[in-house]
Amino acid sequence: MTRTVEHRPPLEELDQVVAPPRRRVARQRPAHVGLLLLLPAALALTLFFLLPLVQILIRSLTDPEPGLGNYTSLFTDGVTLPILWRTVVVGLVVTAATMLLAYPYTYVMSYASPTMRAVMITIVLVPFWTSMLARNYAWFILMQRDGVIDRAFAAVGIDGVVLLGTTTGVAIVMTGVLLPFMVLPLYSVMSQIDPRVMAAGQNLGASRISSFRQIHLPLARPGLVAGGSLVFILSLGFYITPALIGSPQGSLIAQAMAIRTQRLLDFGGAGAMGILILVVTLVILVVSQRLSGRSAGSLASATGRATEKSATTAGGRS
Amino acid sequence: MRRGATRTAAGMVVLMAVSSCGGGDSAGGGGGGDPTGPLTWVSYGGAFQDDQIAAWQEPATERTGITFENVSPYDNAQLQAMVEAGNVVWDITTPGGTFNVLHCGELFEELDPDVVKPEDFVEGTQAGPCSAPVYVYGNIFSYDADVFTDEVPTEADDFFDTKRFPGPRVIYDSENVGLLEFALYADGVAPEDMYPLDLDRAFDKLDTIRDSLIFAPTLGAASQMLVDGQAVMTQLVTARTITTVRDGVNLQPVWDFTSYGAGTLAIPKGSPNAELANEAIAAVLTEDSAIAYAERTGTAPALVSVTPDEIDYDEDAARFNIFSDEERGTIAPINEEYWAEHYEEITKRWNSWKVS
Repeated sequence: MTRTVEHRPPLEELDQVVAPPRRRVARQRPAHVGLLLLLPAALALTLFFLLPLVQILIRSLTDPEPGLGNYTSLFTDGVTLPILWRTVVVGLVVTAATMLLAYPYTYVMSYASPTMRAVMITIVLVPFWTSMLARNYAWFILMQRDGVIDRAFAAVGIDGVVLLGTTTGVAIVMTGVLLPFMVLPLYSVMSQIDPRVMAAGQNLGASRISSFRQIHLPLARPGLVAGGSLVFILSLGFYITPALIGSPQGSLIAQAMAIRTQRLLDFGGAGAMGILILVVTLVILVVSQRLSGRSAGSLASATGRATEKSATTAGGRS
Repeated sequence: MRRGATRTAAGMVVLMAVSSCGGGDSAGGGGGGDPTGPLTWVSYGGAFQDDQIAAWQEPATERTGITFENVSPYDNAQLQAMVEAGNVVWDITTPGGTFNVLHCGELFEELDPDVVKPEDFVEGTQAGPCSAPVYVYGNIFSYDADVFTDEVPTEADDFFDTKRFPGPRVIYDSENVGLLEFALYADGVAPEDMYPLDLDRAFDKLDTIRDSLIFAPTLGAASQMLVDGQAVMTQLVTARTITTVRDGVNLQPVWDFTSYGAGTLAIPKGSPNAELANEAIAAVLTEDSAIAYAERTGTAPALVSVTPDEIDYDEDAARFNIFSDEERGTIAPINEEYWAEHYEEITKRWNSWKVS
């Protein structure tokens, strides 16, 4: 079996080698065992997510009075829509920025030596191990008036770069905080891309740029879509960063919900806001699935098969 | 294998039995059986709660034997959720005065009328039926005297004069910290005509310095911004003003118009120890405790029976004492009843003004 793997057979052949034992295992276990394995997660999700969500939905439709009042007021109060729009724009900017930063980083990481790769992964993960508050306060100090950033710009003659309290500042910090969520899914996809495909492309006359555009980018696309949706969805719910780095004038939707619950005790209105965000998120998820699913997905599997074949050829030649 | 599994299962049953017993015990204690507590006291933590423990709780424990367990932070929404779920675990809280008045009977228990008699308290502190005033704070306009040296602000309207006194002004992000009243006074409204608030006029006035206003998410953040030189002026509550000065900021008060409000104690609706909590509040509402708290924080006692000369303020606290014998301009209470009645309307308007 080891020999077959070394020779990188086409996928179909691999399937035949691997599939039979798998099928035997499946036959030994009755189908309901699989369902049993699902049970703990399903139970937890129902109890701690689904039921509260239904409760929030019901409350948003009944409190203070039955009807759609809470929802119509979101669109007419003159506050919610601008805040929602700002939240979405910040989310899109952050998603784009993390993509631009993560792509080259992950690209290098996927070709790096094992030691270098371990170092690079650690650098990405260190923020995960650091307290969210500590990170935000560090940015706070960097971005304030007369802070490091302000002084650095002043030294080159640009005065008054105070990012603290601005939406730009919030977007920068969110980009830093969310970067790992882009790097990790991207890496899991990029590490599967056979470097020899790029070489083959150039071998066949493609320039570096077009081999990147036509081979690497499409192959990495599922990672971009997965990381992108993750980052965007997380950014919609960000609370600590905008509360600390931003300003109440520039608040994002999570802050608006906090005011509704904590100051106005308007659980119904806050629930309606939450449902609105949920709907927006689901719509975005569906759209991104569509974007990645059909075009990129089929492209990836098609190229994947090509990869296997070209690899076999390359292996045979060497 | 099998025996191990059986033993684990048996262990779990025992654990469940023990934990359900524990639940039963605490529920029994919650029924009001224990005559000395502990009462669960919820506030905002930090130095704020430390002062409450030292000035109020410890003397109360000495006098009555009632003990306290401190938790933080207090959160209005959490209280509402507890009350709705019928599972209130807090016995004494320190919400703002408006909240007591607004949700009296609904989120807060009515207090024993023999414990909280309105005539015992400073005018405008909104004593009873659900709130027991414990200290009085001012919303003090002050400026950084290291920034403004030649020409200094002397009146309320200077807060709105960004030409003569340029620079960011930091305020705590809350509609009800006297800023609307302050804006109206600066715009020429007489203190006696303040209520009902002319909101259009107040927001128009605030619009004139919109770009210079920084809204701090917490009182601590407001203070920190002054310390870090992020702001040159502020309107901030007494205790925070004084801690900011102690942190090295050369703040100078401007005595023209200063509104004041009261810090209050309240009992959450459905507190399992409401009766004992009333006793504890009675034990806190003593002159000794009032004086001790005033000396620690620089705020003023809410009890009328305490005279200012009984309090040994240090130099900084004395400078910011709103009830000093020295010239203090207009000192006016915030009308919490008006605020309670219009809270939702003003809060919504404040938020839409802020983000628009």
